Formats: sequence, structure tokens, C-alpha cells
Amino acid sequence: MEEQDIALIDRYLSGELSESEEEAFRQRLKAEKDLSQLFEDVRYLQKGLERAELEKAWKAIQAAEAGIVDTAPTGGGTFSWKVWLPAAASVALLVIAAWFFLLRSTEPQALYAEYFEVYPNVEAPIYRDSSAQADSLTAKDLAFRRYADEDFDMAIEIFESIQKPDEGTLFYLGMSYLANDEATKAAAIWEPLSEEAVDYKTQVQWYLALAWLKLDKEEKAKVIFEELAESGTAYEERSRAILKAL
Amino acid sequence: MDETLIASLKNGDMQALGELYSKYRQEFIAMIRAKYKMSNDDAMDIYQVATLRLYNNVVKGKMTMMYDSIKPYLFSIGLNVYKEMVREDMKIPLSSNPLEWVDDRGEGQEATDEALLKERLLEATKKAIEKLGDPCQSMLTRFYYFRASIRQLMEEFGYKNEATAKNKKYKCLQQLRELLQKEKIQMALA
Repeated sequence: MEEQDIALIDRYLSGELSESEEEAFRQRLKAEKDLSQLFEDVRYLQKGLERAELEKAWKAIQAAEAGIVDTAPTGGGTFSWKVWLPAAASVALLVIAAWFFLLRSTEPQALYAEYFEVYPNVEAPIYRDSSAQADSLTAKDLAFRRYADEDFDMAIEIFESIQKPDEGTLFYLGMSYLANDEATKAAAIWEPLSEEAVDYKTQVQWYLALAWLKLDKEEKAKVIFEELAESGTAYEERSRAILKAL
Repeated sequence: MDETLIASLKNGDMQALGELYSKYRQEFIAMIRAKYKMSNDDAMDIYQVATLRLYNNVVKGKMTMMYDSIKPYLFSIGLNVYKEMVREDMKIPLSSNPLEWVDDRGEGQEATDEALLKERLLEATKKAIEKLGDPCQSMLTRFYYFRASIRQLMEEFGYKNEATAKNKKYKCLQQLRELLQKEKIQMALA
């Protein structure tokens, strides 16, 4: 009976009922408390499933944003040589210094230093207006709070305590190690993950390749950068630039 | 090309969503900042919410037919989000609570108590869904969000026939309802 009612609710929610069927359904909703409760449950579950999916989509948007180098102008103002000339001179000196540095060294570790930046937390966003009490936070929430505070030692400790970690947790555990200058441990986590990951696949590949650079494993890094250079992802151009420098 | 993109989004392809986001981001930010005075961060917030709203609309088949391609549709959603933000005199970044902005916001908002209760129920639902796990979660998401038919579930999840798929979907829903009941009790006790 309940199975039939669920099928009826599904058809109602999909707009598949005829006008008369819909009217009969509404009458039953008014008269039958069990059906009305079942209907409420299904509606909330539908909304909840939608939210879970949209949270996934939001993460994908944040991940895309994290992979973009922003070139948009950030403000207006009048141009003044008095202000800009000394700044331009400093920049020019820095560029020349950097050029000499790069000419002297395109060593893997130098490239690592140039391209590495800590990946932002897009897995468990910490909202500024969050009113969550400390005792309602999960281990994952706590780990990400430490990660956001750049307390990587503590983040590692909490990430490692999570039973059955998902790929997001493993990615950020590796990232915490790499940010802590422990590239060997990061690579040990990411190497198997790079094959299995779905949501974080390109991010894992990119940072694993950087970890290999840091460990002077140039050939291993190259294999991954070559794949990323043709991947059509946000890491494509940077991978090409690194390959060129290598 | 847009047909392929729309089909990918309808199928929940997150890589396609990321690519769409990157493709028009700079152009949208430049457009809206040229039109209205705002910071780069505010423009980016609006664009992110617009992309999320577009995704939801495409999945639900709500993409208006008057747009024959994604870009003008995305930009018009972005302008609407901006107008809604101005109308509600928003002072906090939209990105701090993006899911609230997924649906068009009407002139009037719900009564606070009712909205709070709904929010708590949805939070309980979220916890129940997290505990459900796969394949039930994927199956119910395909059915209730992506509007996959029982036949599609049968094919995607490898069931012998539609009756088996229908029965499995029913059992998954029952399992989720039981988890929801437990979460509701927890919520009442909290």
C-alpha cells in the first residue's frame, strides 16, 4: 500500500497526474494523516537530496575559482607617475633579479617554490557567520579549521584520526604534509589517490607533480605535467610553462 | 556546442560546470563592474551564485526557451541576482550562504519561525542523507533531483529489470525515511 502511495507521490511531484487524479490526490492528503506525513517526508528528502547535489556543485565552482589566476582590474583611480615610477622601478629590479635567478636555476625545487601555493579549503567551507557550537563540529570540521589557520601539524593529526577518509580528506591531508615541507609523505598519500580520485583528480595530479619536483624526481613530475598540459583544465597553462622550464 | 554542455550539466557533470564557470567569469565580472559600481569580490560572488542557479535551473529543466545559448542566460541570471541583492540590501557576501540564493527570491520572505523550522528539518535531512551512503544516495539523487526514470535507474545501476530497480529505489527511500525519523528525534532532543 505504502509502495503504491510513494509511486503516486512521485508521479504528483513530477507533474504526471491528470487534473482529476491530482484533485483526488489532494483530497486524500487532507483526509489521510499517514499519507500527508509520507508526502511531507518525501518532499523534505527531495529537497535534501537537491541541497546535497548543489553543495557538490558549489564545491566544483569554488574549485574552478581556485584554479583561476585573476587578471581583472581591482580598482580605478587616476594615474600618477609620481606614485608609479618608484614602484615600476622596484618591479623592474625584481623582474631582472628573478630573470637572473631563473637563468641560473630552473632546478625542480626552484620551480616548486615558484608554483606551489596552499590549496584553499573548498571541501568544508567555514562560514563567517557560522554559529555552530564546538561540540557539534565533526573531526573533519575541526581539521579544516586548523587547516584554514595554517596549523598544519594539528590538521594532520585530526585528518589522520578520521576513520574511512574520503578523497577530499586524503587530498587535504597530503596538502597539509606538503605545506609542512613533508613532500615524501604527501606523495605517498597522493600517488595511489591520483588513480582513484574523481572530484579532486586534477588537483591531486598537480600537487603530486609539484611534490615530485620538490623531491627532485623530475621524470615522475614530467609524466604528470605532460598529461595536465593536454587536460583542458585550469592547470594546463602552468603545466606547459613548467615543462618548458624543465 | 551549448547543447553538449547543457546535456553534460543535466547529467551532473561537475567538470563541465567548472569549465563553464571559468569560461565566462572574466567577461561577466568586467560587464557587471562596468554597469554597476562594485568591488571585484562582490562581482565574483554574484557570478558564483549565478552559475549555481543556472546549474540548478538546467537540471530541473527550467532554462527559459527564449535563450538559445548559455552565455546570455547566465548573464541575465547574474543581473537578476544583483538586483535581488540590492533589493534586500545585502551586506554580507552572497557566498556565505549560497544555497539560499539558488531559487529566485520573491518580494516577501517567509515568516521567521517557519523558515527556521524548515531549515532545521533540512539540516536533519542532510544528516540522514550523509548516513545513507551509496548506492542508495546516488540512486535517489538521480531519481528525485535529476528526474531519471525507473528505466534509467535500471540501466545506470545494472538491475535486471524495471521491477527490481523500482523495488530497490523503494527500499532506499524507506531506509532514508527511517534515518530521517532518527534525526528528527535527535533534533527534538537537542
